[in-house]
Amino acid sequence: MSQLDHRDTELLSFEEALEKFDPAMGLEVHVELNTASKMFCSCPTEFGAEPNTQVCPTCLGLPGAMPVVNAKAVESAMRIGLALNCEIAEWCRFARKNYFYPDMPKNFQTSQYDEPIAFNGYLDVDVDGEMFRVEIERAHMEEDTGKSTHVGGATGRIHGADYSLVDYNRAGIPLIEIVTKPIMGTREQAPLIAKAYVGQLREMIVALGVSDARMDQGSIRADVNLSLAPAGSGELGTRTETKNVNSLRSVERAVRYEMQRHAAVLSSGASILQETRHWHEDTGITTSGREKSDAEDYRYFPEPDLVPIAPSRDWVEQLRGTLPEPPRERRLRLQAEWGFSDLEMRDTVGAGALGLVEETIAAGASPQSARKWWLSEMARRANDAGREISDLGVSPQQVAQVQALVDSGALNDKLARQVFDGLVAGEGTPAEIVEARGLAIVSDDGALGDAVDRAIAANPDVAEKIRDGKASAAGALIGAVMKEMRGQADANRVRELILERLA
Amino acid sequence: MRYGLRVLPEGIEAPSAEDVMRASRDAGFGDEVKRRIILGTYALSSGYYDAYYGSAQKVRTLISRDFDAAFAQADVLVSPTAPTTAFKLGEKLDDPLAMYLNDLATIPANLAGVPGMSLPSGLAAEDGLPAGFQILAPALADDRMYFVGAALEALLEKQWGGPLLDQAPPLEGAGR
Repeated sequence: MSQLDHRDTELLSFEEALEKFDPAMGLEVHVELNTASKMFCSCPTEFGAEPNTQVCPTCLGLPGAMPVVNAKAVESAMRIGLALNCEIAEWCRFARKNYFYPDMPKNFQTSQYDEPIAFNGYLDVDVDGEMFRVEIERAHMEEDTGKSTHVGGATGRIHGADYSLVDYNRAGIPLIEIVTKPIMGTREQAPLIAKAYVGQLREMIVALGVSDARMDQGSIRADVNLSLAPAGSGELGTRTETKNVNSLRSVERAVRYEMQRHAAVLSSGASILQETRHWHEDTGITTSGREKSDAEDYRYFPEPDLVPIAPSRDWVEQLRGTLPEPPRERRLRLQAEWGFSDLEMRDTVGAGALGLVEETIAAGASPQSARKWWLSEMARRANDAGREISDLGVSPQQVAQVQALVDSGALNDKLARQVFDGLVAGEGTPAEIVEARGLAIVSDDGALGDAVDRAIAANPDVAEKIRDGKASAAGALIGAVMKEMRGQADANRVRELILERLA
Repeated sequence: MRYGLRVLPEGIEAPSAEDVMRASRDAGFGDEVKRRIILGTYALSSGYYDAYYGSAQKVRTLISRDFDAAFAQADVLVSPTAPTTAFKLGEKLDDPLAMYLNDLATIPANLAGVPGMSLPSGLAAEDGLPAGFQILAPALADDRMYFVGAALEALLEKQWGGPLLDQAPPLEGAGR
């Protein structure tokens, strides 16, 4: 299916798509909680254990096993709901979502249906310095499924595979699904708003401390619903649901791609098929999954094995007291503390680097140096590698250590960049990399003096100008020394040595 | 499927997991199980949920209230456990409604969520087969139910001169 699909997919340009249509989005974000045990049993939840070693009769769905709700997960769900300005249900139940697939051995997923734990909220998202309010429909509790691995096929999908393996360690890990109301009126900002929403939701989850919040490990996963309607009509068109969008960058790209694809289909007079689509990170396209309308009837009904959840108002208020600072207030406070301009702050938030910069400053770097490294050096590397700025393998603490070396005069910026090369390549700590790569600045007068003498001898006309009192000409000699020392000379000391010799 | 019945569908070269599940369930489940799966699935299907499952939940609440009203007047309720004595094995397989009707007296306790127990009441005059009666008590009053059950059992056994089972004719081919 997918080969044909790739070739036949036509896109309208983004600009033309916007001329003709208005986009509407709905975002569903799954957050895997970091509770010590699973949602309905006491199995551990650690990531990366040997397959099927963290399982029991309950999460394997064996007959007769009875679930018990994890109170910590309910607490995390309520804290997420409160942080999203939601109402918390006075009384709600779990529901069985019935479907047959090997990754869910009970043949139903325990979820919530028409009685979510949290509903009717919003998140104010900072988009290029402007506030955009994303309305939240609901946040509900459910359990994760097992993880299937399809072996032998070219695509890693079940089609064409020789056999499939299922790891149930993930089955039963608590998930919170956060669903927005339709996001309308975004026009050309739709891709950016989608990315900003997921990014700032992720920041909030980190601040709450309820999840590892690692998109690359799947602890935060986004589904993107998108539809187009004729520009100015105010209608809602037929939507597609794009799954497997697992980085912030991909959220933006997937929205943009589906807008352009929908626009091409609708412009040709055809209609959009309501279906699930798969996002392909490598090629930047979506392909058709199963059609949704006929196949999916989950036959929800209230879970009879679990008692209803009826959180007391005291509990709700107590949890409200544990919430971190709201994102908007936090941004204003940090901007004031760091003395950033509006533009600097906007760029920092836009690059998804707010938390990283904050941690770097906490580790001892000055606000401007922290901003400089993350927004120039790291942002460039992330962009080149097509990765998240937080997934480069360089920690805020390491950035602060490198800056400390610069501050002490042991490194200059150019050498610091080579240390970052080493950090990305996993060569050890900044100090180890400086040592192993021989990157430290030479400020020893003996070695520098020889190089200065050679530079003067090789450039007699420049030396003559300096002798005549034209100190600004020293730059050419400093450059020559730096070149000979492969950038590892203390430029200030070199300048002093030149001026001493040619006084 | 490594455990239990695994049936490969005929005429499909590379069956999918769903094909194998379908064939195994088709071969392994009896008519009554299939009937209940289909009924339950139908009742929960989107578009029918309110008409069947939703209505049934409301009826269940009404039944529960009926019991509350009855228990306001009586400590326990007593009735025959089944409308007839046992029919022969397999005799009514083609008449599922007749089989369901046999559960008529016991299902209300399940719907209302109240405890119930069945005790032998003697042998029926018509066919000599055992008959029983049930005792129903309010929710969480299981102790009352056992108390009444034990008292009645003691009186009946005194009348019979021992457990009712002693009057049963020996089973052909069985040890007893």
